[in-house]
Amino acid sequence: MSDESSREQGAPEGDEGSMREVDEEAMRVLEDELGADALDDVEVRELLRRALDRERPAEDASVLPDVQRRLRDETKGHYFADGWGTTPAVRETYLVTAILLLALLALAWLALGPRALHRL
Amino acid sequence: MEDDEEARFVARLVARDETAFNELVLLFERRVLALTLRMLGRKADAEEVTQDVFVQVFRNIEAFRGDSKLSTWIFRVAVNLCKNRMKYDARRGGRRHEDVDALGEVRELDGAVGVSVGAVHRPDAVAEERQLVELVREAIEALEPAHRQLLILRDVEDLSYEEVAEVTGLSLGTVKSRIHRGRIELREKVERLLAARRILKENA
Repeated sequence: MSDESSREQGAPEGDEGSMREVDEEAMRVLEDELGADALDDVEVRELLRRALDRERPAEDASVLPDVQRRLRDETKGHYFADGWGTTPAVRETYLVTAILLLALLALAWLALGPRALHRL
Repeated sequence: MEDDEEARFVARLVARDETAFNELVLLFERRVLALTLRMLGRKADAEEVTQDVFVQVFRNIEAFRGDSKLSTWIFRVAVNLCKNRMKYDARRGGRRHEDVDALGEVRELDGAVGVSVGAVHRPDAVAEERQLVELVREAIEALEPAHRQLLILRDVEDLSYEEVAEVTGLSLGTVKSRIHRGRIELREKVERLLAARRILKENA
């Protein structure tokens, strides 16, 4: 990319270079007078969109599981290793599990704690 | 995403917050996949390169300095990876070639442009529309890769000229000039293909 940029920024040579200068000068004048959108070719844009608009990914396609698997492999299990991280709503999963565990502990305490023992 | 919000989000990514990374993939995967699909043409290649994009983002998020929008930076990674893939394909001599033998009836470019896709209902009109689309795709395939990439970013992905310059790393003047020449090249190719089809049809 940098090669390309530096080549583009260098002095143009020969006929192609002269034509490019003329092109760019003409576009600058057009843009100054009518704004950047005036450079657009509506017909070509419409054709491009019609031709390429069909190349849309499926709605349900997600690369997330594959990306996570690749990162898990690449980092030797350091990231996305626990299987929990593979779901987007991981925080909610931890939270719900923590609440359920607390509720279970509370039930156990009520059933087996000092009050339960006192009743016996 | 607002600037402050984006800065906080990037900080989470730099801290390798897995949840933030999941959000990032879900937020951008469709746009990245659409871009790679349009640039590469093949679904399997596009999916693989899209995965590469997010793996690279995860590895190199520290390199994002916030000079541009996060989306622009991700697009830049995607465009670079697509270019690498296209070079690799070119070396192997394996680019996509659509089966255009099915193309039959043709029409003038100017006449075709006025037809709305949504307005096409009759079977013959649907077939004609499909043929035109295939023909345009053939012309796009035949464009210089640098022109094709810039036209897709500007005219299909709807990036501004400034964003295209940021994504590709080219100067603004070069972007405008190449897009201008790419459109002329595309128009000429489509018209040439239409003329060739017309001659074939007349001789059949």
